[in-house]
Amino acid sequence: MIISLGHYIFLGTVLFIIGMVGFLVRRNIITVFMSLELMFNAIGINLVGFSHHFGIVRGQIFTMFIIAVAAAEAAVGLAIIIAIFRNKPTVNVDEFNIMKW
Amino acid sequence: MSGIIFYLLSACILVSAILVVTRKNPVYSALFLVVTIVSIAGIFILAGAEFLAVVQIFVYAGGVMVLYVFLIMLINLRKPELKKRQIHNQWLVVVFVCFLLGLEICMLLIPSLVQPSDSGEAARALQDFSNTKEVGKKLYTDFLLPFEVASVLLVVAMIGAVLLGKKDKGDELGDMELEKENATEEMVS
Amino acid sequence: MIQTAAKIILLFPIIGVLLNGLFGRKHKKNSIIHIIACSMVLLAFICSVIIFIGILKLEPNERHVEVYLFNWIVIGGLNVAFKLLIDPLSCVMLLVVTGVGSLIHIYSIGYMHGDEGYYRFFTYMNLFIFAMLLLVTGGNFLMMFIGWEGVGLCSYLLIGYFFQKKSASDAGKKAFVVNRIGDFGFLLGIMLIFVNFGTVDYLKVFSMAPNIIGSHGEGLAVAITLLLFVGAIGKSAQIPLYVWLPDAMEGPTPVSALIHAATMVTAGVYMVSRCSVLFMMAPFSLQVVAFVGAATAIYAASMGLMQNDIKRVLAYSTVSQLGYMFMACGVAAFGAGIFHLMTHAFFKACLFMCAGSVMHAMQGELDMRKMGELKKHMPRTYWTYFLATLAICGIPPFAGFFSKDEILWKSFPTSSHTHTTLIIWIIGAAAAGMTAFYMFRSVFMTFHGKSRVEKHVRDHLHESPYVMTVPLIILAFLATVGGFVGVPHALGGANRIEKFLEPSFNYDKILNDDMHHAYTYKNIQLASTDPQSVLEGVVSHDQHTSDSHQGGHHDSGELAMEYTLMVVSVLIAAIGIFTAFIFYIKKPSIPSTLAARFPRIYRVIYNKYYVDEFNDAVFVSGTKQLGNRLWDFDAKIVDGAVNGTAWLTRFKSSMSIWFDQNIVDGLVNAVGFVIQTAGAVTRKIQTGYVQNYGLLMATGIFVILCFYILF
Repeated sequence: MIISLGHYIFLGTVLFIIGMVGFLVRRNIITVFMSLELMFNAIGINLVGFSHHFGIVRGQIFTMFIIAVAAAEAAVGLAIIIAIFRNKPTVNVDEFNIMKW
Repeated sequence: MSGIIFYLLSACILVSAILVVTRKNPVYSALFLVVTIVSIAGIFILAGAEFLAVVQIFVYAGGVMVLYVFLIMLINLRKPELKKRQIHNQWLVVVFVCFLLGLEICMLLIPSLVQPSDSGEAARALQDFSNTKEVGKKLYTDFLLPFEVASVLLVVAMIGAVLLGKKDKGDELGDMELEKENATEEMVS
Repeated sequence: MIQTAAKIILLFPIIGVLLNGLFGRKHKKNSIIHIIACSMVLLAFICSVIIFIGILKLEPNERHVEVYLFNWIVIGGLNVAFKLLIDPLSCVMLLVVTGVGSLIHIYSIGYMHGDEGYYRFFTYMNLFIFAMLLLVTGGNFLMMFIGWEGVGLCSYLLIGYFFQKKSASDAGKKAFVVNRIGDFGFLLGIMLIFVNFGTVDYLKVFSMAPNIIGSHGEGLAVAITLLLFVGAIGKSAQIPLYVWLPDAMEGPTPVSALIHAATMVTAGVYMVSRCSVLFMMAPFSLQVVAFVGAATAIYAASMGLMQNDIKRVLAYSTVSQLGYMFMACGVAAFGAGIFHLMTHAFFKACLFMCAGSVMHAMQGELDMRKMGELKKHMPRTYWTYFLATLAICGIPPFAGFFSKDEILWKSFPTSSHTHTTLIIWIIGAAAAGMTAFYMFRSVFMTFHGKSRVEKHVRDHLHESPYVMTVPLIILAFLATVGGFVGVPHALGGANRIEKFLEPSFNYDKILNDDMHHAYTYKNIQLASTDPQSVLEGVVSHDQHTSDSHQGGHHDSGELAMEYTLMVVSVLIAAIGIFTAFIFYIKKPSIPSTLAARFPRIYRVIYNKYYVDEFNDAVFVSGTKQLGNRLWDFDAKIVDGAVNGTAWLTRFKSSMSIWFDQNIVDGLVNAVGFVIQTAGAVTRKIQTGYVQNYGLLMATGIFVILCFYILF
């Protein structure tokens, strides 16, 4: 069976949705970040699928940069979590509501 | 053949993704995320992006996930913490909205499902086509600027992470260090 | 000479007024006050004599001298100058006013001696003289009106002289108000004259009269003259405006003598005579005048029969005699009327002053029932009173006989007397009889019979001082001989006074005959300055003209009639005197018996026919009611309207307040409220949870994609 672009897109979409659900639903902050990584990967799948479809390398390069940025962002995010954890020893997103009205 | 592998891999991805999202223990989530990443790397290889697949495994699975695991260990969650409810109150609304969103995106992009496309794979296989060579060529000519900027970005991120994660006085981790230092000093004097 | 005298004659009384009025209060020495006052009037009298002599020097048809003083009103068509007209009529009036006036001033020195407001009295008296002079010498209707009002004012001031007494001040008010009613008619008459003639100047009006009346018709003359006569009714106390005169006896006796006997009340007669030209053109008015005069004469005489207050008797007698004068004017015998005016001034002033003398002796008592046998104690007063009474009754050869008889003769209808009817004569004769009766009744009750005087008063009875009795004597003398200037032709006399006065009543003919001499001031230079020859020349001239004017007088039938009437009138008077004698000397019980027999008639006449009560109930109360209703209207409706608008304004402002507070401020508050509420609602989005924000973002993307798909 020929794998068409649509398959890649479908896969990417579903993975993205799963990641979004996890991002919006989970209380543990680390799990939220991991869902974020899932979303990044879904995007990568999408881009690579397009790149494969058109026979062009640009999509892959884009994905590479996305990976780089995702890594940087993960590092900084986790450092922030450490910093927050020093103040309030909890990993629940619910409890970070100082900005509440 | 590639179709079956594709389906297998995609099933693996989706299952482990769901497992990532639903596990209480973050360690489990991390492990399943690794599985997902590796599976995605397999998809990349299927799509003819070998270099990218390797990069993915090196950076994502080898770097980012290790980082995550370190962090989980650092945070040191106790058992009672894990017993607490892990799912947010708004989960129903979220599922609903995201389902709709997914439907929408599919609706946008579905027409292309109908058309099978020629990936031109056969043609490339005939040539002495190296993905890595292609990527390298493009990266150092057309996309030189983003490449350099990305490296700067990484440096900045590194510095930032170090700064944010530095030890302060009164910090649990720091206290242990200080106690050790004080003990050493006492022993010396 | 006339000019100068005329110009200064008005000054004297005014100087007296100013000096006594401004400085009199401070002078404790009364002599200065009365010296100033009396001398001023005497000087005025001297001027009158000079004027009289000057007039005599002129031709009879030229005896109208206008003395121009200054221009008074110049507005549009109305051009009124302050000028005097000196002619025979005003001469006679001047002499009477100043002559009798000065005698009364001298009398007042004694009468008002010791009174608190001595200076006030003489100030008012001089003011009265001034106003009266203005009245009689005025050269146009407005001048006369000024004098008219002036004498009215002075009469009010002088009647209410003893203002602490309520009855006196009420009487003063009554006089003024009743006079005012008459003045209203008078003013309307003047306005009518001005509208139709374009001027109020005497000579101009009289010379234009034939043309204007001729073109407008007799109705205009009737209207004008009746209106003028209304004024005369008020001033000269005829029916129905006589009610003030009896009450006016509240004032001091010299006032009664001067104002209400001799001068002011005669102003009406003077006015009617002055306008004789107009009255002659309106026979209907003449009839009205004659009837009103006759009716008044007998009406007042009937009331005088019953009065017990000596001054009241004299007051009613005055009203009655004034009726006679108007009767004379009404039968076109203006000269006779003025003649009677003159003689009446003499004897009435004398009578009043004698009454004052009696009052003085009786310590203020005036009731004749408490007098009697005063002849013994006050001889001079008695004899002067007696002479004056003879004069008023019309006994020859006293003054009253000639004048009264002239009137009665002229009111008897004959071929030459065309303006009269028999009834007038009958009423006049009856009134003459009643006059004789009540006058002698007063003589008998006061001076004769048994003394009914109270004990404590009897001891103080004394004759009045000379300063009071000398004027009485002078006046009694004049009352005796004064009639000789008017002896009629029938008795061989020349009837000088009537001839002298005649030009004053014929201005329409005189002024229109010699138009090139018309109404300009003339001063004739006479060849001889010897007064005697001048007088003789004048007399002969007069006789020449008189013959041509009174052609049908020497008819023998008429002469016989005249003699008969003369005898009849004397007889009537004699009967009256005799009756009085019976009633009050021989059988004093008769009056009371008669009163008992006809109690109701007696009561009605004694109470003056209840006229005063009627006036009070109808007019006075009516006016007060009207005033109350109008006050009511003003207070309730007018003020109500004003208060209503105030209430409306307050109401409107309260509405504005409500509007401002609730609606305007409400809007402003509403805006704030909306923002606040919106904010309160909207801030709840800020939950602080990042995942909530993420959800919102996802929803947003969904919505945008919806739009993308749909559009």
